[in-house]
Amino acid sequence: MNAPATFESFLLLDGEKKISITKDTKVPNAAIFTVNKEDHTLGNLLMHQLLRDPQVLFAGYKVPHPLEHKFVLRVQTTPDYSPQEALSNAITDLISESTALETRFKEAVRERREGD
Amino acid sequence: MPYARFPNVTVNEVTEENVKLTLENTDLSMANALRRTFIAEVPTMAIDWIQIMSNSTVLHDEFIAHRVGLIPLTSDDVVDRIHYKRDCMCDDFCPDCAVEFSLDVKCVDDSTRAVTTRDLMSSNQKCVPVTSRPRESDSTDYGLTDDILIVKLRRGQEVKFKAFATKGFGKEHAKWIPTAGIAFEYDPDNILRHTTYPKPEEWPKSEHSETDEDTAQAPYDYKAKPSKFFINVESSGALQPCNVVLSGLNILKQKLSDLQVQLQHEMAQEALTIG
Repeated sequence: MNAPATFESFLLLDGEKKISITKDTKVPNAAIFTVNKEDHTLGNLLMHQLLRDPQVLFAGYKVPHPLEHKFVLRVQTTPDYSPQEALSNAITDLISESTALETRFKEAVRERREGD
Repeated sequence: MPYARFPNVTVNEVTEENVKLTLENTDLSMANALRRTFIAEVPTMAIDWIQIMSNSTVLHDEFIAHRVGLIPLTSDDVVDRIHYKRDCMCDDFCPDCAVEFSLDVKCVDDSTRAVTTRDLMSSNQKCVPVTSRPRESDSTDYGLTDDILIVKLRRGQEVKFKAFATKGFGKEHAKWIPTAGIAFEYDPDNILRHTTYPKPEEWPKSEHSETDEDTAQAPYDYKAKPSKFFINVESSGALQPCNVVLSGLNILKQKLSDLQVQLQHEMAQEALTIG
């Protein structure tokens, strides 16, 4: 009776933004990104990629409530680097990794076909 | 690319239903993101709208509707060209956003008539129930040749409906999940001690294990990180397993690109408001 529509887990509502940025005032160079209509698939992926960057001092994510489809990603960086820049670089690296996986997979399937 | 990884993929086996991969030099978060994407975000076709004209069977209307929705439909050729129903310009269903199905069976003789997916007629021969897919003549019984039972009829009972199949993915409803199961394994010898076995010798050895039969687990290495993943994607028949993987990779890339675009947008807005 009260169940929300299942498409609400991935469709942005009117006026909802995909990503919003708020500054964390408690420490310098920290920001909190709220990503709507995404889940652990992206959250965990982005967090781990951010942790590979040595200029990132803090990276962590959570899904505040399982019934609300969004995650919150907190990033703190060194003074000469901004959290937004760090996230952008992380996304770029992940895109290049996925593209590499795609190419390698296609090659591997071709290799397997030729081997048979 | 500052901190990108250079992953490697080996395909160990490809069949009609399975593809076995080994992923190397990648992170656990990427392997898991792929696993989640293969299950919940790869689009397929499934019946989503049904109008029942006649139902005198022992199952009630919504019971039949539920069963019909779960029937896997071959989506390989169709799902790329078809739009999502919500994105389509038409008012009702059209060939660009849906595939029409119909079923009309009445039991006239004394024996039980089993209504199966063989009776489900599609308007597009590329999108048919998986069990109705034309098979090569030399194929033995794979189990796929058994038609899926929808309902059984007695003399005089009838079921007649019209239905439309649309594009969707697992997040919206499980009927759109293309995989039957994804086997996911890493660290077969428990070097990372991500698991603590009370008695390691009790547990069966993995096929990917690199130690001999006597050693239950390899010595602990505290510096190691998971980097080799053994994945087996088993398809329900809706998509070729290689297509599931390719589609999944594409969708993950798409999500990341969209997020990048929105992030740049937000950063530009921020710069405007500050400056």
